[in-house]
Amino acid sequence: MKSIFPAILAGIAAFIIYLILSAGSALPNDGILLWSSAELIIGLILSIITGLICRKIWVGKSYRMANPLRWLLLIVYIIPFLIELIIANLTVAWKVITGRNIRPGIVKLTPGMKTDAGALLLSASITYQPGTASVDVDEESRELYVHCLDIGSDPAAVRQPGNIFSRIDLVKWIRRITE
Amino acid sequence: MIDIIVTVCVLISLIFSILGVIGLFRFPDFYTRIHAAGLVGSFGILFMGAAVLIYAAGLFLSGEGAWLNFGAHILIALVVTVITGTTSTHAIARSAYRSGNRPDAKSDALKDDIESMKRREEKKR
Amino acid sequence: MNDIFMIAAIIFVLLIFACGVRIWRGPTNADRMLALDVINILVVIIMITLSLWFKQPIFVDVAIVYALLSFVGTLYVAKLIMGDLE
Repeated sequence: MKSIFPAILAGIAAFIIYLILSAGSALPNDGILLWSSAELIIGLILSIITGLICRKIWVGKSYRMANPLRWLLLIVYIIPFLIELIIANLTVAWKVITGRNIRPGIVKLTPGMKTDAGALLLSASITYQPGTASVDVDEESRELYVHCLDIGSDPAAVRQPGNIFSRIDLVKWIRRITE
Repeated sequence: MIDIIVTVCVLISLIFSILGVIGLFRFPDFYTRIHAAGLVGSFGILFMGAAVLIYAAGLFLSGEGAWLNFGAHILIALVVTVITGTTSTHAIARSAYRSGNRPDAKSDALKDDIESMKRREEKKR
Repeated sequence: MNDIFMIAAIIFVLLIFACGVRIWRGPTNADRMLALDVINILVVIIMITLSLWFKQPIFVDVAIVYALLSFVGTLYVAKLIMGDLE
């Protein structure tokens, strides 16, 4: 009974991915919305099998991220993330062209995330932006060690968690998503 | 109209990829080269994906239904690349630091903590 | 319209050769691994470009599978460099 809920969640995730991959397969005379009925039946069978196989990976974990509202917020989070990404890309590209203002250093961040998912999302966001890369994670206190391309003339200024991104405070967004 | 947008997207992707590979040769040490590689992994692939998406949307709107499938596959490919690129960059940096590759940087906050962190993980295992 | 995809694909292949130079003379093993990671991303970009050039959606599936498999390879080499493998 304990492993029923993870099996259902894994099956739903597998079915959604199957639906995206087979979109547009509807035949002219037989089909529900975008999918033909044969694809739907095979997808259902395969996702039930996948859910039964994968039921053990979510046992004992927190179900906080299973809320659909959080996934909706995660999709909205793409917009400020893209704005930050444009700024970071242009900055690093300008540094490659001119070759000036390269002052590398590793700084320690204490974001104070309460969940593992928040630490994961924050370190992934930091690594995906060019110009900052998370080198190591302290697993107990969830402190990040971030390598920055330009820490500025004052090394102590970057250590605030809100200062690692240039314009928008993404840490606040991540806290809203995962807590 | 769609042709111009697709061409601009392909050109932006080309420019950022070329800059990333140039940075791979120009930057002084390993940890700064990671940021140059990130340039290829973020804008290089995102703008090429955007070009293909816009192109497929244009063909789909002009009446060829098979291109919906194409766009969905491109979306999946972009998501997969974002996740795997992030994780592999972090894995490379972590393994390089733990194998003794130190950056030539002014401030290195990790140097004092790495030994105690390793010992704690050893004890937990 | 096809010409720009052809030119883009050729330039990306030349970039792969440039990364090969970095693999050849990289001072440390980590540099070689990083250049290999960039090559993997470039191969995915080339697959997507070719799918536009030839109008064949099957190339994108190949790109997805290539990204997943090269990810596993990168993780394995990272563990090897860290010294975790026995």
